[in-house]
Parts: sequence; structure tokens; C-alpha cells
Amino acid sequence: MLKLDRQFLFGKLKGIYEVTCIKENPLQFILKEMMKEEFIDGVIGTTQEGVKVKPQLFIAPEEIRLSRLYFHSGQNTFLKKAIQKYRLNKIAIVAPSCIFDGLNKTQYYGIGCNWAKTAVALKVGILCLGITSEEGLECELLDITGESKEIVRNYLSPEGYFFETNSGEKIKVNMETHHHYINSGCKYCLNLSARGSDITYIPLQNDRSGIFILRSERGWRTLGILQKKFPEAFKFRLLGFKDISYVEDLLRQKLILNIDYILERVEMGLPVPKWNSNRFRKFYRLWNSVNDVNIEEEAF
Amino acid sequence: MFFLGQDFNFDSDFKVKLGFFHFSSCSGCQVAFLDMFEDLVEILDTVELAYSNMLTKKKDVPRLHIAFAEGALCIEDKRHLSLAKELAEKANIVVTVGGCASFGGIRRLSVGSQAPQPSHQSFIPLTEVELLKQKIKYAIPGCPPNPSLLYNFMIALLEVNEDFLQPFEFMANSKDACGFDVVKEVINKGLCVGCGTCVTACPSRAMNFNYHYNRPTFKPTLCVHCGSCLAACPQSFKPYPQPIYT
Amino acid sequence: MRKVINLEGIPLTEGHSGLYLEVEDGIVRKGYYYALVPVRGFETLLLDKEAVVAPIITSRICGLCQITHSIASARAVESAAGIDVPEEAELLREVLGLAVRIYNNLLHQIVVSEDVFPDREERFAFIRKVQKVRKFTGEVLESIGGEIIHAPNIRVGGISEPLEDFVRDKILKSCEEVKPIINQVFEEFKEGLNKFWKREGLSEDFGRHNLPFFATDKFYGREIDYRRIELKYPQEIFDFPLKREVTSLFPFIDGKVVETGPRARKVLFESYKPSGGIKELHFLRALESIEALNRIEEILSSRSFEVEMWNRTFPTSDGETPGVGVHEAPRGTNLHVVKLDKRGRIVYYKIVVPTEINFMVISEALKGIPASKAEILIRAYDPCIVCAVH
Repeated sequence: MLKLDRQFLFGKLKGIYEVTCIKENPLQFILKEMMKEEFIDGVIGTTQEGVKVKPQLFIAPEEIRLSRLYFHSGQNTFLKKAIQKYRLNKIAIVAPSCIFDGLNKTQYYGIGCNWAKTAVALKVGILCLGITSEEGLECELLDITGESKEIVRNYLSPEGYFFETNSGEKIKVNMETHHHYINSGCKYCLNLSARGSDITYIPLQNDRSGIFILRSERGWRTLGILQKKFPEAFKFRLLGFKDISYVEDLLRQKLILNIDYILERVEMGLPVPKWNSNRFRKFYRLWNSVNDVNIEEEAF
Repeated sequence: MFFLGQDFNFDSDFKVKLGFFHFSSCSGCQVAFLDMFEDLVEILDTVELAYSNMLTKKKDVPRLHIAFAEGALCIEDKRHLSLAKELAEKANIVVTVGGCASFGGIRRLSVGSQAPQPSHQSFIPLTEVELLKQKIKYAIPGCPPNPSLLYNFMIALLEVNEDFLQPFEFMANSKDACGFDVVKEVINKGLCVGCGTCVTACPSRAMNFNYHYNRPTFKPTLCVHCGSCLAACPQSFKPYPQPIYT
Repeated sequence: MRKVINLEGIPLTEGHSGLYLEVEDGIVRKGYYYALVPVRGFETLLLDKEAVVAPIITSRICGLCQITHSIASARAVESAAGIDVPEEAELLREVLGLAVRIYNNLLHQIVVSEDVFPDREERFAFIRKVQKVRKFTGEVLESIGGEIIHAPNIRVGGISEPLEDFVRDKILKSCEEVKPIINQVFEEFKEGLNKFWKREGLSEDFGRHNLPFFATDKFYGREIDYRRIELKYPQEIFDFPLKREVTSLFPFIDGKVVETGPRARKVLFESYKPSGGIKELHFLRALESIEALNRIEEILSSRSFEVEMWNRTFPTSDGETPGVGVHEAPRGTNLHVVKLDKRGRIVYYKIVVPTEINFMVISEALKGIPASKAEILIRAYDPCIVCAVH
């Protein structure tokens, strides 16, 4: 009955590439070079000190140092500073889908931040399987390995979902365990692959390569410009869905867990988002009846 | 269009009649309309500003399609009561603009007992006035609402974009207007994802963000009860379908 | 024939105000101008609140000249608690105050544009230009103050966020861009006003009075002894029913009716010789916008503001020492007086705003003018009723 098709898992896209950069992390490199070329004038992303992930507004290319863990931590708190104070109007935002929910809303309605509608130039979504707080990460690790370790990175590989410690040790995380420790807000997320962004970035084992799912003309152009400018720094490999079947599997596993959680909430009549309480119910109805409607567009 | 009522008119040069009214407020919301800057002139070109004490010379309130009202109603002031009656009579729909008119705002703190009229002691948002309730269709949060929001709202209202307007309809029946509502409706219910939109929305910087547990924190003494935080939260309501800007 | 006219609601002014006129043969013999909006009770609602919230709350007194109340209240609390404010913060506050001065003066020009430019096309073209300059001031208020209306960055002890140099450069650049526009606006307004005067058949010194002037500084505001101000209640001035309806107080400075505002600043700090009419007042107000813009440029280019500008000392005092905060608002001298106790709570709060001071000036100037032109006179003073009734 559950028809978790690719369209639902990945959303609409134009192409999937594995990008390898010889200099540094490809996403970081792209943002730096885009800023040097003045296609963007600011980046709102996250930066990292050990396990501490903090949001950061970068306004100079040399400052950009993105976190390698989660990429999530209240990025939207910087919107007003970037748009109203600094008056940036070509901002790139690197974040998972939940942050974009807030941003889209601000852009659509204009509640909260002036001029947001026209100020964002690029949305880089992060494929996110749920985030934990600092303590949550500690507990999760103790649960898996029995010892406390400092995690600096997470990534996907054909073997599954991994954490990497500061000493380079790789810890495989099983989705059920992860689902237990993540923030409860992440448990009803149905947009793990950041549909609606320009580019979705998936970190890989090798920090200097990553999967880029290109979704919009804007995302497409971004990569095109940089490929032209640095033909020797980048290596592109066109991927098909079968090459990233492991990503699809992970997404599916996680989504089934999330859907279970949501259905439980709805059946119990537990609180769902205010003022639109039929958001989940609509989803529930669709889920249980038809297979062929475009769920993505209907329910969200 | 629903707000036209019976005066529906097929003339090509037909213009929607707007009015601005202010009760007990600072006029900031009306000034926020002016802060759309150049865009304002475009809007004024397409509608008819039929009444505003500040911007027109008209002394009498004509029949209006849409009345924008700001400020709370002072129960002890006879002028407010008659203005409310007049609004109920003459406007097809009323839109309450800003925290004071919609949720009480800073007026919730007023206690009166100040010279020269110590009897002005009680202030209620317009949404609590029974007489106006049937007319109030939308409430706009904010202290003041952003010019961007007002611009988008005006456009949506003139185009009758139901998707856009629906949440404001909900807000007209809502009493929630401070940081505690984010705590109550979002954080307590396990819906908070820690995006920080409420922090950015707060006009008085009463909301802050804790990066350790990734949740907003709230400082009640600075709160002016404008309702921006909950209205901005992506978990309170979502644009439907989700807009994608390319 | 002598008759009494009670007018209510003066169009093209902010808020709901009233006019009492005793008229003989169409000429005003005695007049009073007063406010009729309810008293919101800012002076009482602030009692027992922590002094640090005063700038945030008092900013909500007025939506037109919000910053001036934030600045005056922050300065009052600082003065009561003896908190030193970094020099840069004071300078930036001055910039914000001046930005709001331009913002307001131009708002007033938009408000009176229906009088001045009878032709719709001409009026809209004028408003378009004015809005361009207002957009610049909006940018200054947003970048430095945090928001255009009700800026939260003005705190007790300074300004909460440093101003980065590159933001400062951006502001200076747009400052350069609006300069020609503001001059153009000034010229157009002047021309429109001359035509308007001709159309209405008004004399050059229409609305003349011989009252003294009162201001504390050309741009920013200097502390004065608040005991010089004596407040008269409407109950002392008016008869029934007005004494139960008028909601504004009437301040007298050193026992006298004085005018405050752009003309007062010109007279007291630039030895300007006033002619006394209201046309002059319009010109001086418009001229002040240009001066304010130049001053903003001067301050911003004088030094870097990329420093900590917030003295975070928690304000406390003995409950007796009054702190006076003065700011030269667009419409004149705005004064807040506060007393704090040892816990840092407010035990006394008093606000005197420029429009309150000017009420009596308007009333004086009304004498001897035709009753039909009374509204034109009132508009020239740009009364802000919400400020007056706080």
C-alpha cells in the first residue's frame, strides 16, 4: 500500500551528479567561487567547532567554512541580519528542508522579515536523515559503541549511514537507532531530500566529493558556470537512479519510520500543526486511498 | 469578489474602496503601509483610498469595501464606540492590522489612571468586539506588520488569493500573540524543528535562540504581544502548496 | 456676529484631534487645539517594569517618530542610573534620530500633498520622489536600528549591534544617491507651496505669532532641568464638556507658551530671524531634511562604528534621583523623565512631547485668522496626536 516511489523520495529533478573537487569539499568550493564571481553576496549556513554546530552568516569568500555535521542549527535567525541589516540581496542558504520551510514561508507571506522574497539567490538543500542535539549524539554513540566519541562528520555510503569521529573512525548507524535519538520535530519530516531547493547535496565518504541533485535552472546554471571556469578542478560523473539506490533505500527506511510515527499521532489525535490540522489528515487520507495521485503535490 | 458585497459593479474603471481607521494605536501600521515606498504608489493607483484621516481630506466615512483598522478599542471612549458602530455599518469587511487591533498587543499592558483622563483604563483588541466580529475577516500580526507582508496581503486581497489569505482568517479568531504561544503550540507539542524563523520575526528581540538544544528561548519582559513569532513559524501553518522561488 | 465652532477630526493630520473656535465675522477671536484620542497610559504602564524595557515599550508611543522615544527613554534611564554611554553609540543614535527626522518631514509632505498638489498626476509624481528618499531613511533605520518602525537596537547603555564598515559604506553610497533627489523634492515642494499660497490667497506671514522659541540642540538634544516645565490640565483650561474629553496636557516652559520644532532650532542655534508665519515653518522643515542628510553623512564618514557600543551595566538607582532624557524629535523637543529604584524598576515616568508643547502655540496663532483657514494652519505644525496623548 505504501507507494514510496522515487518521485516522492527525491522530488522533481534535472540530473544527479557525483562531483569531485581536487581542492576541497565541492560544496564549500562552489560557494566560495560563486561569491568571488559575485553571483552570491552572502552564505547562511552552519559552522562547526567539534560537535558544536552553529549557524553562521558568511559575507567574504575566504570566511566560508561549512560544518560537516548535519548542516542544521537555526539558520533562519540570521535572515534579518543578512537582509535588513547588511542589505544582501543574493544570499545562498545551505540547510535541510525544515529551514527552507521557514524561509519559504517568510518569502511567501513576508511575515517576520522584510524583502525576503527577492533576497535569496540560491537554496542548497541538504539530504537529512534527522538531526540530534549535542547530548543526543553523545547518547546515540554510547548506545551504538558503548564509548563516548567526538563526531565531526556524517555521510552516506553504499554501506549505509555513517558518523565519522575526529580520529577518522567510521561508525555505521542503523536507521532505527538513529530514529530513536533524533529531535521529535524530525520524526514527522517527509521531505528528507529537500525537495524544492535548487540543489540537494549529499555528503559522501570522501569529503572532497558529494552527490549533487540538480533541481532547478538556477542550480543547473551554478554548476555549469563553475565547471566552465575550473575544468580541471572538478570531476563530474552523471549518475542514474541505480547508482544511488543506497540513498533511496536509506530514505525509504527512514520515511517508513516517520510515516509510522505520523500515523500514530494522527490516530491518537495528538497535536498536529495548528491552524491546519487537516494537513496530516489529508496526507493520511491520500495515503490510504489512491496510489496514482501525485502525493507530493497534493499533501504538501 | 466576496468583499464587494452588493455593490458589485461591472464598470471598467471600477476601483475597490479602501479605508484606514485608527483606534488606540501609534499609527505605525498605517505608516508601515506608506513604507512600501514606491510600490505604494502603484497600489494607490489601482484602488480608491476612500477614507483616511491622515491621507485624505474626507470627513465622513463613505461605504467601503475594505476597512483596515489598527489599534485597540478603549471601552471608556465614546468616540471609539461610535467609530466601531460606523465601521460595522459601512464596511463590507474589516481587516485588523497589527498586534493591537488583532491580539491586544502592547495595549494589553495598559492600566490607565493617567492624567488628564484617568478613566481610560480598559483596552480590548477589535477582534474581541462582538459587533465587529462578523465583519472582521482577516487579522494581520506584527508590531508593525512588515511592509512586505502588507504589500503581499494587499495583492492577495485584490486578487482574492485564498491560499494566501486563509491563515489570516484563522488569526482573526486567535488570541495567541506572544512567545509563550510558540512554546505552547510548537515546542511543547514536539513540532519545533529549530529553524529560528520566530527569532527573526520578533520585532522586539524577545525571542532568542539556544544553539545547544536548538530551540528558541523567550524573554517575556521584552514581548509586545504582536503575534509575529507564531505566525512566522513554519509549523503553525504552511503555505499550500509550498511556493518555490526560482 | 459671534459664534462658537467645535470641529472634530482635522483631515490630513495624524490622529483624532479637535478644534474649539470662537468666531466673529468669520475671524477667529479665540481658539484651542487639542487631542481627542484616548490616553493609553504609557506613564503608568511603565511603572514597576524593569528599566531596560523602557526603550522598547516607549517606542510604541508613536509609529511616526518611534526612535525619538526610544532614544529619549534610554537617555533618561542612563541619566538616572549614571550609566556611561560609548561615544559611538551616542553618535549613531543621533544618526537614527536624524534619519527619522527626514522620514517624518517627508511623511508630512506626503500628508499635505493633497493640499499642495491639486493635480493627481503631479501629486503622485511628487510622492514617488519623496518615497525614494524615505526608502533611504528606511534603509538607515533598518541597518542601524534593526527595524524601520519601532527599532529594537536602541538599548539602555548604547546600541546593541555594531555597525560594520561595509554596511556604513553602503549607507554612505545611497546617501550620495538621494542627495540630488532630496534637493529636487525641496524645490518642488517650495514651488507647490508658493502656488498653494496664491491659490488660497494667503499672506506671506499667515499664521504669524510672536511667541518665544524653545529647543535644546540643533541635531541631537541636551539635558535640561525638567522642573522648568509646568503642565496645565484640560480641567483648568476648558469648560464642560471639553474638560472631560480633551486628552492632552498643555506644557508651559518657564511659565510661558513657547514654540518648539524646526523653526525654534533655526532661531536658537543659527540666529535665524523668524517672520513668524507658517509658510516659513514649512520651508524650514523641508530645509531641515537636507541639513539632516548632510549631518548623517558627516557623522557616518567621521569614524568607524565597528566597535562594541553597548555598556551592559544593569540600571539601578535610589528611587529619588530623576533622570532626564532629551531628544530633538522631528517636531521639537521630546523629553522623558524617569526615576528608578534599587531593583532597577521604574517608580516614576513622565513624558513631554513636542506636539503637546505646540498645542498652545497653534491656539495662539489661530487668533485673527479666518476660521475657514484654520486647518491649513494646524497642518503646518505637523501635529502628532498619538505622541501628544501617550
